Amino acid sequence: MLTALPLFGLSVLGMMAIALAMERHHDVLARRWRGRRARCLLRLVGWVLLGSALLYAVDRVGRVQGLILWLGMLTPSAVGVVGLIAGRHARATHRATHG
Amino acid sequence: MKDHFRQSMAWLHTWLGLLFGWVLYFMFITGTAGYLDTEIDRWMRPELPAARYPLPQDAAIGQAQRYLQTHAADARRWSITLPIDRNEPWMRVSWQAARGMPPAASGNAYLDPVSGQRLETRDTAGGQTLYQMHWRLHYLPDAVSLWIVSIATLVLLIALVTGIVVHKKILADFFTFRPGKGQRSWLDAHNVASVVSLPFQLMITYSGLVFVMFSFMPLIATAWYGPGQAGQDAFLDEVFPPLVSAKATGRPATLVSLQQVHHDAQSRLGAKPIGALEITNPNDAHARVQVVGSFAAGPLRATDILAYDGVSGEWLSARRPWQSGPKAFRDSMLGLHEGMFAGAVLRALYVLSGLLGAAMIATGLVLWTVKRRQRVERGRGTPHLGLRGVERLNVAVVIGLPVAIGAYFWANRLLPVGMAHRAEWEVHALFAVWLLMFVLAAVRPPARAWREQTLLAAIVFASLPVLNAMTTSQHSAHSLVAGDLVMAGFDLVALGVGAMFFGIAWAARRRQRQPAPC
Repeated sequence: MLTALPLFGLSVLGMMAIALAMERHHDVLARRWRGRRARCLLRLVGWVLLGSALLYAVDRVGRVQGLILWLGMLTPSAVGVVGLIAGRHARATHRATHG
Repeated sequence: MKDHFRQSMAWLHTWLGLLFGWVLYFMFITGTAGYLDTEIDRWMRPELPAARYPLPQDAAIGQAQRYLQTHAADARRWSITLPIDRNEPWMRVSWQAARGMPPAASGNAYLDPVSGQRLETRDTAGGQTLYQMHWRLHYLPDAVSLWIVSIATLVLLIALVTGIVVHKKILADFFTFRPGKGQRSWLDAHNVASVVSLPFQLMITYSGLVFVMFSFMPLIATAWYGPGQAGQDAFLDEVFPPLVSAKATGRPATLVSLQQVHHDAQSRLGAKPIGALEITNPNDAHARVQVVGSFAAGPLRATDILAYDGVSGEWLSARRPWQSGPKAFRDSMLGLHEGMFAGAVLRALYVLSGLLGAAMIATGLVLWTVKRRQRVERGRGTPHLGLRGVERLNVAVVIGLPVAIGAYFWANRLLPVGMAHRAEWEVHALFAVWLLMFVLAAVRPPARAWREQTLLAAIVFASLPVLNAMTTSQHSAHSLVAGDLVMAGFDLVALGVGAMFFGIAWAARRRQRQPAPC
């Protein structure tokens, strides 16, 4: 458990940063629009976070099991970010049509 | 040229997926339940005490030997499984009757490791039978289900690869799910479910093929070892060399103290855990004892096996987990597939990925019908028999199967404990209810059937904790206080599954009231 939570946190943040860097999702996730350079930087930050998640997992449970745990943890992290984006989209559309 | 290639891949993906989707869905749901097999076992045997492991093994082995000596002295084989982790939470003994004896002379029992008393439980098919359906399609002969499962696995590998080819923008669409947009949403869901769990799906499919390779691809061995059974046997003997083989002599001899063997084995294995003792020809001059380590120590599904003379207690030989690169590759594929080494967190991730695999198949099946239904509604063509059939089969498989599994748990609590062939009737209950779901899906309009069966699944699962409280003394509060987290956890997960189906039913209802703007 003590390994799982920080690992999950790192991978979710990494996924969030990568999603933020994508033109398609940027407007629902961010308060204001950022330029291409800022988004490139975000993408880099995202991959660095995912990489440090891998290093963290390997450090805690060893090379083989760390890799397995990291790969496994990418799944709920991605599901979480997909859910967040879909939820925000739904709210934005709701506001646009009803308010 | 490139487009033509992609189109033919799409065709293959669509039609292979449709043809094998239902059996693959069954394999994914039962296989995912298999990651929680001993937890389900525990719920289905409420008479057992909460599991305690690991235990001091010495006394437990003494009790097991005494029990087997009293109850199965003439057996051909004994086996003692020690409680070391969640894969084997209780001490179990089993014995195989001598040749020529009726099968009823074989048996197994859970033992109290301290008192050596047999722990009486109801006759149940348990989590193990549910898990074994994953590759042993229940009523079919083994050989037939092996072929069906093998071909389905190969088809899944093809479907995954063609799916990757067809899905042009994997990275750009990675986080994209647009709900409420009809066909578009189903395609998004199908893509997201597959892509976010893709490493798991590729691993589970490939390693699934590794499981069946000797029987599914026997000609590879034939090329080197010659045709027929003789060649196959020679090959298997070389891959899995028998450790010690000794024929029973018929001359009685006193079996060595298994505690003494265990003691010697532990000194040779150091800190590594010992999982089981296998005794061949007990009480014969050619008795042999094998001490087996734990298969759950890591992803490499192999372990130390030490062989002893069962009369003198002399150490004979050992087999180490690592024998050759190719064999280690196979063992780690099997280990990754079964995930026996997985602790609580990784196990939860295995379950999540398995469910996403099931969702990938279910959304693919629904997508097939939504696409064609839309074409019909736009006035192009009529709903042909195939479309109407698939729409109904989808309900009966995607939602009907969970209902049937819920009924399996209900049967475990409701069938009389003293009933003959009780375990088999639990399984009959599963398939009878599933059949009923097919009938219901056939007679109701599909949209209604989706909602009705989803509600039914919700009720069947959400009420399991209540059923448990009414039929046993082990209701959730009791289990929590007693520290039996597995029992309480099952109740809680059943409630969660029920809530999830309520959520789906609610969403489906809302969707039907206000048709989605396209």
